[in-house]
Amino acid sequence: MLGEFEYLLLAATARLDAEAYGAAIRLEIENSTRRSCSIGALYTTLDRLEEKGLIETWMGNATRQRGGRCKRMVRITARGIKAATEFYGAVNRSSRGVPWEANRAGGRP
Amino acid sequence: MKLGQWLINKITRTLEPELQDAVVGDVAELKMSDRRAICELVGLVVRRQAQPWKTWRPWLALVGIVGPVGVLLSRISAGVVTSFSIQAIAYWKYGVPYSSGLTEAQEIESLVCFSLAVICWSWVGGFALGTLSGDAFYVNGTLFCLVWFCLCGPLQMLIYSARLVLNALHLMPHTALPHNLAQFIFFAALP
Repeated sequence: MLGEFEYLLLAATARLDAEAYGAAIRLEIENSTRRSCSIGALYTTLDRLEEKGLIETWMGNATRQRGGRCKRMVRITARGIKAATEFYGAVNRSSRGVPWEANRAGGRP
Repeated sequence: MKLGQWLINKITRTLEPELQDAVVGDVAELKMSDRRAICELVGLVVRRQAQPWKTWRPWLALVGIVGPVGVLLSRISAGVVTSFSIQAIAYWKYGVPYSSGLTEAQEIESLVCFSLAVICWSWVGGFALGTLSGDAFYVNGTLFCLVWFCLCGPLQMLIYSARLVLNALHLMPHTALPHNLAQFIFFAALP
């Protein structure tokens, strides 16, 4: 089973498709979750997902915007899509019928 | 070059070349301040250095080599340095060798043999440490050097050299100089 951050990273990679690389994934995660995402967390999780065979990475082109440095491009694999789908399904099923609004702190009798 | 950029270059140098390229490029593209970039890059380096410690091998290297072998080597090298320093001080101050019961040839022979043994065992220890530690080599290597350095070896050599020079120059009385690390720290801590 995936971890929460692993799922967020896979989802951002899938959404960015051919434009998925370090900085773009980071911005995508920060925009969707409204939480900061550090370079350390991003790249160690990318390494872990690659080890598990859920993503593939390769070095892309250098751009002037990046000071002539290459991008680490990311692509989600079939196994990655399967793992993310399973995680999403599990979260959906476990959340069904849970009244979060009523369970807010201070809402209990 | 600005200090921040210099630090960023130094920190990223510990990463693999491809990752270094990707990370420095991301920092430039995201237009991060130097301070934030340094914090995030240190975080990345620490996380990557922590990864290998999830296996048992670096721990075995730490407990089995850094501790016992480091201490043993430092003690032996300290012994070699001490006997050499005693002879050197005796020659320098009084012009005669310190009588240890050995002839001059035997004295030189024992010094050379001990030195060679320390060099060989240091190499074997380093090789075993590198093989067992894997990617945790930098951490274990640094700890090994600290143990070796602080527990007498080269530090004692420095202290004895300082004693030798200060003695010869009559700058300080012989007894006022520290003999070992414990004394050195004790004197340094005095107000």
